[in-house]
Amino acid sequence: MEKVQKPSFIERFLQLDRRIIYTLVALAVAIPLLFPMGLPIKVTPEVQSVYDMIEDLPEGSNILISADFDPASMPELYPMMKSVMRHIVRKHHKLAITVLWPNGPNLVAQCIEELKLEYPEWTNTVDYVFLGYQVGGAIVIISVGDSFSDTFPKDYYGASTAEMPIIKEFNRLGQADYMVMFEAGNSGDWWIVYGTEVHDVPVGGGVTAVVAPMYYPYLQAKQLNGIIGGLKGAAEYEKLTEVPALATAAMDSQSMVHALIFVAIVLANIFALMFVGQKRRQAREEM
Amino acid sequence: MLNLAILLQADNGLLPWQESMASFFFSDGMVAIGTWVAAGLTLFMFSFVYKDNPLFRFGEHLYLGISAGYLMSLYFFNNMKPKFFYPLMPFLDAAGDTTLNLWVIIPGILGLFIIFRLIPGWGWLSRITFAFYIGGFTGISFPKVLNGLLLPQFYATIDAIPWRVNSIDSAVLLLNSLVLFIGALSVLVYFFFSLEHRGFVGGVSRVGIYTLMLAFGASFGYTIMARVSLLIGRMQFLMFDWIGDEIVGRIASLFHGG
Repeated sequence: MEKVQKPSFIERFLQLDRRIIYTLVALAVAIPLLFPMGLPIKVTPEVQSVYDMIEDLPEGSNILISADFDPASMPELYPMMKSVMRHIVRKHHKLAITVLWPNGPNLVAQCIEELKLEYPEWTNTVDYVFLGYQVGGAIVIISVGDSFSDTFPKDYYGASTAEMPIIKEFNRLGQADYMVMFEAGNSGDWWIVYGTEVHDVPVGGGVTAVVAPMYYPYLQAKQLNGIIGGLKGAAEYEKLTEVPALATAAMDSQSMVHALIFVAIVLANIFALMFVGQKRRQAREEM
Repeated sequence: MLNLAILLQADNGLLPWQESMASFFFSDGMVAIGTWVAAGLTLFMFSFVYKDNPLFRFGEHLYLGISAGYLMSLYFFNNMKPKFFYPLMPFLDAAGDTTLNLWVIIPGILGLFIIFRLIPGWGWLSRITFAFYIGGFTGISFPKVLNGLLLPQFYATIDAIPWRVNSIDSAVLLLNSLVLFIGALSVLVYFFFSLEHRGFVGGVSRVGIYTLMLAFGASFGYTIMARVSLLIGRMQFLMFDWIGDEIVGRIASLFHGG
């Protein structure tokens, strides 16, 4: 009867139960949330560019926000959208908000409600208009090049947009002095191709980390003036606006998990190389 | 039919019974129940990391079902009702903003053709709609994509190269630009299949493969960051919204010795 060889330490490590790694990841997330370490957050030039653009515009400038995401991307995009909107409110700019994703409007409405608690003087239809969702994607973008009020006859709350004071001054994409799009997919491509490039509107992107690499070529081509990428970008914007919130609180966990993944990858590679060496030695001994 | 009648009647806000339901669902008690349901469903989803199980599948199917139902009602209220039913039957519009417009019958029929895909033998009708849609949109897109995407990206790849190097910064920029330029060119060569990838072309396409691998690596790194962010978001919800700031604070203070 053949003797069953006990697996070596290297083999046992390489066959580590994935649930142990999941547990370590869960701890790496939860512990820093319980005991914040306050790791430093460095602001990158692409986030600074978005901030500077909003900061340097004269008071009362027209800004368009398109919130093209849904609850699946909320942890990343909601904190950055709230920070950017807070910045816009503080600077007393006029704000129009559109949504191209059907599950997005409620998130924007929640953000508006939270900001109104901080800034009760911020007035609907005068300082901002929430145009809500409209189906059509690229067609909606082409249409807002002509008119917001025709594309969105009623706002999110059901009020007619045509007679709103803000719409009298700011009724088409070309009248925007700046645009910030929050993207969890490729709607940002549409905004650039069918909207901002056509009407020559400067635009910054707040994007999830998954799609960030897709948007960096636009930054390099100066079709975007800045990018707020993922939760890290959101934390950077919170730092710039000096209101640390959810994204800042999450950064310690993010760093811990990244460190854990880095260590896991390095160890797995070292052990894999050792395993190959071990097998070669065994093969030589058997020859 | 009753549902359709109710859906068509509800306009410019909510019907009285809908308003009562809305105020009921946004009461404090219901928000608390909602938080518990959300927390429970989150835990159902997390249970998959241990192994596949009925709770996970229940949560998954519930999410898909609710999303589909919600989207359908949204499309109906935002589009079908104001843009199809009202122009055909203006008397249904309580606000009286709509006038009779029989032209909407044409897109209505084209839309119906897509549903015919479900009927064996009638599916070919959907091709008319798709041909109309794809043809029209290609016509709209072509010049815009050329001017708004292809040419600016092409110029940026060439323009980024600084032709005079007189400082360390410009030398670094030159290096970056050359990497970008050579990378873009070699990837294009890799996807050019009319020439056999041997000799010089083979070498360049190999550089293209390495460039693609670098791009995929960066993309994968960002994807990990995004997934971790989602996990953090859920953990923040469970710890601070569900368990509560106060209890979490007390647990933390136990370890701090406070």
